[in-house]
Amino acid sequence: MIYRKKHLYLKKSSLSFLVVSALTSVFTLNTNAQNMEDDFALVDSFLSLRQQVDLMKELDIHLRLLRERYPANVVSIQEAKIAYAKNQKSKARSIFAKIKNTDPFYGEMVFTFFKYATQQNDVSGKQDAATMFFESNLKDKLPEPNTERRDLLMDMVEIYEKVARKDNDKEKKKLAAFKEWGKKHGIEIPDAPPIQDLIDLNDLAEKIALKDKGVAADAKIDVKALEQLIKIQIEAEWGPNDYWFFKGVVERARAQALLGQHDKALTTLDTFYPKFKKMDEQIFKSIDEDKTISSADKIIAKQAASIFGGVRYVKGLAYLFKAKKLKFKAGELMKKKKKGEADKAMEEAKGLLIGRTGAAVQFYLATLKNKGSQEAFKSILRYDYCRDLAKKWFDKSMKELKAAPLEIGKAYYSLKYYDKAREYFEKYVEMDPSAEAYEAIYYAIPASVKAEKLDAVEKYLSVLQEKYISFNKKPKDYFTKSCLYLSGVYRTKMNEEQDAAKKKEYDRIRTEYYERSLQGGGGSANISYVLANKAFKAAVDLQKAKKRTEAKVQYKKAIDSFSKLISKYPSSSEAVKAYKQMAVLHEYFKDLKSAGEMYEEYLKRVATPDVAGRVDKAQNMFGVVNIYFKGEQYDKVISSIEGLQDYIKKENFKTDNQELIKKMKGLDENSSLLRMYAMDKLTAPKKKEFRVLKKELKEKPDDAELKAKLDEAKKAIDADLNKMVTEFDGWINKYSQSEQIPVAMARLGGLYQELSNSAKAKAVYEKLRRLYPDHEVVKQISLNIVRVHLDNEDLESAAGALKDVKMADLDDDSLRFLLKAFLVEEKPEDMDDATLKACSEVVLKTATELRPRYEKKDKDNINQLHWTDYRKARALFNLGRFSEAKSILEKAATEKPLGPYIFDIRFLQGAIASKENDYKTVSSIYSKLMALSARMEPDLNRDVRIKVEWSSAYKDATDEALIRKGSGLALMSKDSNVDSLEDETVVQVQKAWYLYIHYSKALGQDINELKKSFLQKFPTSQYAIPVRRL
Amino acid sequence: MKNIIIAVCFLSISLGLMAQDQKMGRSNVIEIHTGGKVLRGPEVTYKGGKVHLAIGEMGTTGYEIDKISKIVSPMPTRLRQMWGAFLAGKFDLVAGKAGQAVMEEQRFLGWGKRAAFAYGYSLIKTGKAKEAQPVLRRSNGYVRGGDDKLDKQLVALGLAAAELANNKDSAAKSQIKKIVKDLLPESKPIYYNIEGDLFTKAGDENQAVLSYYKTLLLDNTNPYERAYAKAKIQAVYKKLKDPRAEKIKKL
Repeated sequence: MIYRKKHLYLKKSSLSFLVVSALTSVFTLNTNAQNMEDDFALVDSFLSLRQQVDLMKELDIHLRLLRERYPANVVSIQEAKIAYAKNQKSKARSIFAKIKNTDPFYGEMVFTFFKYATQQNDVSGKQDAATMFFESNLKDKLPEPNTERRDLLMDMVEIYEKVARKDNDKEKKKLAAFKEWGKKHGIEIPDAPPIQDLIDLNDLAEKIALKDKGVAADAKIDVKALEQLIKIQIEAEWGPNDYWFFKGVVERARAQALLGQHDKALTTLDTFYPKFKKMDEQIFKSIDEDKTISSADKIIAKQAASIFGGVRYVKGLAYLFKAKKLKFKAGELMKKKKKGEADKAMEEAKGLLIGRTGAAVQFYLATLKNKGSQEAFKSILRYDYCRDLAKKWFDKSMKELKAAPLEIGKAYYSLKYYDKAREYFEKYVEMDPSAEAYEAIYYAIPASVKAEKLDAVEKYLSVLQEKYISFNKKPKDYFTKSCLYLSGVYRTKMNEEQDAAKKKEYDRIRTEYYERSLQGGGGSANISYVLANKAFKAAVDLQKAKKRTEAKVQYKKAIDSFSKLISKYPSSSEAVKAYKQMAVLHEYFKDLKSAGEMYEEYLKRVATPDVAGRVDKAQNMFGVVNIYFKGEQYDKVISSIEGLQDYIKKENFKTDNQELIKKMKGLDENSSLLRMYAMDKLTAPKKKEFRVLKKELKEKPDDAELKAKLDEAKKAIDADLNKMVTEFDGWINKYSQSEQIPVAMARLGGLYQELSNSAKAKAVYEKLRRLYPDHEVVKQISLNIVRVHLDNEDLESAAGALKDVKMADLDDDSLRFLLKAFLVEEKPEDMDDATLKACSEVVLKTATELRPRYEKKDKDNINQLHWTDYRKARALFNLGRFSEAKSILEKAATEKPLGPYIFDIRFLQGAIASKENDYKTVSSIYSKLMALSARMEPDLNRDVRIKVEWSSAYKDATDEALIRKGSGLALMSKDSNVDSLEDETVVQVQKAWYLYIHYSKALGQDINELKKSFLQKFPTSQYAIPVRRL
Repeated sequence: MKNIIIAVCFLSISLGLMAQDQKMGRSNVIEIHTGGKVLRGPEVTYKGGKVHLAIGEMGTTGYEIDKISKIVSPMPTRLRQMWGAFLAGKFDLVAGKAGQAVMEEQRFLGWGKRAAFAYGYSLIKTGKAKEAQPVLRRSNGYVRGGDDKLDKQLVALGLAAAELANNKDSAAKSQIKKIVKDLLPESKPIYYNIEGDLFTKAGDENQAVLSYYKTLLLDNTNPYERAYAKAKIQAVYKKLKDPRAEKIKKL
């Protein structure tokens, strides 16, 4: 007696049966003993609760843990289960199939595979799993009776019998071996119906005879085999209640009809008619006796099980073939001009085809009286076939079948007549919503795709969306399913397409369908994540291609999509990943504050069960540190690094994985380096204060109090510097193999220079030169102290330090660095004239040295030369040497009127004209720039800049008309939508505000409200101080 | 006064349960395993440093405690009542004098460790972890019962819970590590909840939630621990503003 009460297992872990044999082996494999039974049972519990609450995030974390605890194959069994739970059948099958039969967990895999394939109604999966069992050593050791495994085995036996029977081997060795196995183990192998071979051969012959789809054009009926099987059937022993015998009689008649023995077929059926009736009575009686079937279901069961379903169908076939034969005969007679005989044959054919008991009627009756049977299903098509012939041969219109168009459509669909199927599904488009129509329209989409009528799908999809989105959506969300299906169709087309343009188009359509799948209200976190990520990638790619405006649009789209995902699926693992993606994107687009926030949210939620996860978390924590560093929030850098170091200390990072070890080493090194730099940076305010005091003392040299303060400040700075010397020194000794050593040594030298300890600085630099002669910092040692002052934001000292440096001794890169560092485009509010002068002199000297070098290297590289020229001209402008600046700019503008620096050049020319009160030239320059801009590709950023620069040209004007002009230009720019502008242009918008307020004041207007609005809108703007001062 | 009421309450319920036992025909045979011999009788008592086994009409036989390897008997009625209260999370009741009395009574009669665990764990849950530690440690010396493996696991878990309550997390970890390899079903909910609490304290809420889920979804022995696990999961979800905090209630 086989124990088969499956429901008893439902409350238990579905994997508990796997564990008994596995525990021993696993505990020897795993030193960190974990309870595998519970670990796997948890997977099952999470999956079984899927409908109630989505625990996929937890499952994801759990899987990561399992990967660390157990061998890979054990984990992949869990992954395959998850794939099945997500209805990803082929993925599940392929994961299971990867486990080799030599694996210690092979047996567990096979039983799990079979069990889950059964749960998901995956026929292929069941066959695969059963084949794995019977074609491996597993078959030699049977599970204990009264266990779930034994039940599963018995189900496998049933499945594998069909697999073995269908084997192509003529000797049927597989089936024989299987039966032998059954005998050996005392397991009964269910016999295939004795007439199965006849049925199979008849099915094939029928398809060939009626030219059904999917049959090769040259396929021929195996006449000999059929005749042999008919003989066997005739000679078979039988009794009055032998169901299979009577079914065999029907099949015998079908074979006869297919072999052209139509009358014989009909006689066979007529001979057995009373026996069929008695057999049916027996069948109906047993159905009536079954108390588990409802009355309604009994009617359906009787119709489907009746022998007469087959009888009617075979009769129909016999009449149909006979009619076809007569039609052919009539044609031949016509050729011989025997019209009378031909007409007689046609008349006879007509009777056979559409007469009162003809083929069409037989098929009709089968669909009506034997619903649910295979024959009824096929009769739908055969009736339609008779209708077509009636029209063709006799111009006779027959009424359509009473069967629902959905049923007919499905019948055609199953036999691959997709066009025909679509015709029947189409009938539902205009109908009122119903469950049947919903199903039909859903089927119309793949039917159209398979009939290669892709243009038609939109109509069906729209109907699903408009009529059915709220109708009967659950549990079948056909709209979402169809969108995903169509997305898949176009993905395949895209992959197969060679033409790049078409590929792109298919990609677009595929994405559109994917996006549309969310409109159904179903969707999934995964779909939303994929779409958001697409925008993410587009934003990064566009930014890399310097298409900033478009990049910004995609950036906003990606952030918006990720945010929506998080709010719709807050518990999903995709939501966790979305936080990270948003952080990365914000960082990439320099919104460091938001990036930091997103990283924090991500870190709160990220799973860290395994070492890889913990390393990842530590790296992300360091990412946050980097963001704070970039955002110059040095105190936060230090506290975050402390948090990171605490985390590293607290958690277990032990691993043999070299890659992870390397990552952790890098993290330790870089975080301690960054911490030092942050500490270094935090000393800057004291240095600034010291400079201010020094300046004040210059003005009041006898102020004793001030002098004391200065001494105190100096002491504090020296203490800080000495502390940093110790830190850097320690770091250099600890990480002597680090790639960052040269940079750290350069800073150490700089610290000594700041402490005026030139001997020690010199020693450090010499060592640096000796150890790293080719390193970038060595080439720029002479500029090291300049860099130190620049880092301290002390431009004046930096410029002063350059007095001792000979420009001719510096390499090109150093000169380029100086040009960038000392160029003052717009004098900041807190910069005094002396500093501006000092900086501009450095730029002038540097540009004068660099230009001939560039010219010598490549005189045709005009862009490079103009880059230097512009900076030189700007320095001359800052030094008030307008005419020299003008001649450089004019020359550059003439040399390359549409070069990349033309706007910078023209703006500077405008500024010079403004300083010279030559407003006519100002107007001319900017009008031309506006005209030039209009001819170029539209760019909002450029337009804003031109107007703001133009407006600023009137800043010192006294003429009211000019002031109004400046005010108008500023007004046009100040209210631009900053969200769609680049960061640099946002600064220009702030400048427009400042200018507008400035002009409003000059025109005697009340500016209080304007000032308030500006300061509310841009509280941290560099124009905040100038605006307050207005 | 309150303790007297509780003791009376125990007693009255005990009488009821005894009657129920007889009705259901449960075996009341007690086995004393000593020096390779098994001695059976209907009743066992402890008096004057010896365990006395009633042997039918022949009276009683006394056995030196150190000669007894284990005593196998059905769970005494008073302990069963105490255990029921324990599983329901009525720790105030179990941690009282009555609970202590049951433990004292069972020290040498085979159920001492179980009673000590219930009493000690209840002390921890009522904020007296320091008092619980000696109670639990001492119980290792009590006469073994019929399921000594489970008793030992429970006592180890009790000690781990005490260490955890005293903020000695690494000591708690080493306690639970000792028994992880072969957890019995009754130990699992307590084990996984302690594990979850340790993860929570270490700031790894993700992993803590997984441990609590093991109790919530896989256990069917301990209603209190399941409710505790659910509450902990809810707390984490609430903290993360995860809407599943509500859905978990229905599990």
